[in-house]
Amino acid sequence: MDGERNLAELKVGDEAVIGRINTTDDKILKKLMALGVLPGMKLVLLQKFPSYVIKVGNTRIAADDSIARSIVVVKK
Amino acid sequence: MLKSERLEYGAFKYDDRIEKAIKEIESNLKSSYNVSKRTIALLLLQEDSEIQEMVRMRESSFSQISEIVKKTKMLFTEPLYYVITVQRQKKVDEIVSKVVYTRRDSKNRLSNWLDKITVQPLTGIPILLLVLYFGLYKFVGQFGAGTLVDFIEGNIFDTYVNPWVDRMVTTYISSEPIQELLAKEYGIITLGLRYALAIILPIVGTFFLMFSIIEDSGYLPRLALLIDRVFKAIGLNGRAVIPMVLGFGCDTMATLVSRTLETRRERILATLLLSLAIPCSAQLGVVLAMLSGNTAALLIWALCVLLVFLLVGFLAARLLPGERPVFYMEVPPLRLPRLGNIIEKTLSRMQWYFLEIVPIFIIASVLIWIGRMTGIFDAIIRLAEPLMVALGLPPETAEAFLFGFFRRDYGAAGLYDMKGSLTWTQLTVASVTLTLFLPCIAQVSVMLKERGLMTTAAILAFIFPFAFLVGYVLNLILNVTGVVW
Repeated sequence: MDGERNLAELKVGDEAVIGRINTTDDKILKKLMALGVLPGMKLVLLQKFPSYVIKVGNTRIAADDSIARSIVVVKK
Repeated sequence: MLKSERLEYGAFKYDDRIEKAIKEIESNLKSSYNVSKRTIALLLLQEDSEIQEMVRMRESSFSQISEIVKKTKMLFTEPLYYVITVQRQKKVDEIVSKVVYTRRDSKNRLSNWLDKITVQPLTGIPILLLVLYFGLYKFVGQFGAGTLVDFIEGNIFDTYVNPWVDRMVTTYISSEPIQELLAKEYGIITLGLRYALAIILPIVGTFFLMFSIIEDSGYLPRLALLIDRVFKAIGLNGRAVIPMVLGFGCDTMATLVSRTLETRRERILATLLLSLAIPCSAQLGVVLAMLSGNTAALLIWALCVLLVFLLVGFLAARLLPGERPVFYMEVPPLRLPRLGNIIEKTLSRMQWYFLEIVPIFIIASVLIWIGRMTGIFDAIIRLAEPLMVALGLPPETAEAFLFGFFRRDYGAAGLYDMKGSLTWTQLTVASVTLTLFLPCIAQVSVMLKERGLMTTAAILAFIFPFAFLVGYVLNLILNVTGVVW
């Protein structure tokens, strides 16, 4: 899809819409869903180091590199 | 609400393929359930293992139902639980966007600012060090382990309780062994209860209070995300920071809490590091008191233990097979903790501590008594003396190490009594070795319960010689480099 990229490719402060979760790990997918990281949700990337911090809805979520790469977004 | 609107919102439908599958499954459900058949059908499509088991027991047509689920799965590239959640979320967003609007609010500036500076390394790490310094060192170390212990032990036990117990025992009990069981130097009351109430209680109490405040302020997830990269190197993820910090209060409770880690590999690594290189608050208090007169000694001790923590974690993570840990965590906003909640948490942790740990103090007192009466202790101490000499320590320290086997802080406290006759090098070497040395009886019993006999035995078999090896090497280095006081 045009403009599709993963979270690690965004810059701090970027806003984007979650496109899909690209992972083969069932557990990660379920946990992200439980945290509200779902396609169509808007996110803001707040920080990349030492861990990723994103804001989805009113929830802040910290994640490591491997999780960040599995979140595919469409930049606004 | 208008009738048409209610219909629009109330009768939410998934897409046709899912709805068709729901209908087919519903018609196969003959038994009655506590929830609607539609709910059961949806949970079956999402492969909820509990519901699958329940339906398997109750429905003769379970194989047909499984066939429907399988066929429906083939229609989508993504897992069904994902498809279903996404469709539901879309509807939720649609409704929410119609009725909720967000106002940009400026009064939360301070909390936004605090939220930000606690998670960025440049400001977050100094804040972390401040939290450790004031929370752990000043409040638990100096106030709890210093002021409070001095008061309870010096003013209450040494002045009133112990002399009174000794007097009562010598007056009313003629048998000397029984006198020693209850009172005198190692008695249940004069040693066991005194340690439990005068030394451990104030230290653990102040720690649990501090931990509850930090926990309720929402700081721990920030600590977790700051430290995740370091913890990855030792095979853990940032989440493990919670049992690790708790270990500075009580390693036994921390070992229990390590069951919240996701993989077996992480639980084993955490258990190993907790029993090896995380000193509990009681031990920490005594070590800090023992070395506090000498900043260099304190720094060498802290550096050695930290180095062992990182090195053993790093090597163990390389040796232990298993999946790599992943880290994700919700970061709640920082909040001012509520006093009532903090008091309740602190009290319930202290209650746990009293019920689980204090009886073990009493048992340890009895074991020490048996060991002394039968002469077993003297034999072990004689065997251990050459080991002490190898570490550059006087033979008498063997007793402190042996007691350290029963409670790590017994050992440290025993060493504290000898403080006057030891050099700084000896105190430093002994403190490092005792910190790494075997966990207390209570912790071993929890390790056995949580991790099983094999893992526990392997961990202990590693720790025992390793602690002495580190002490031996440290003594060599301190002597060769001439850093001898």
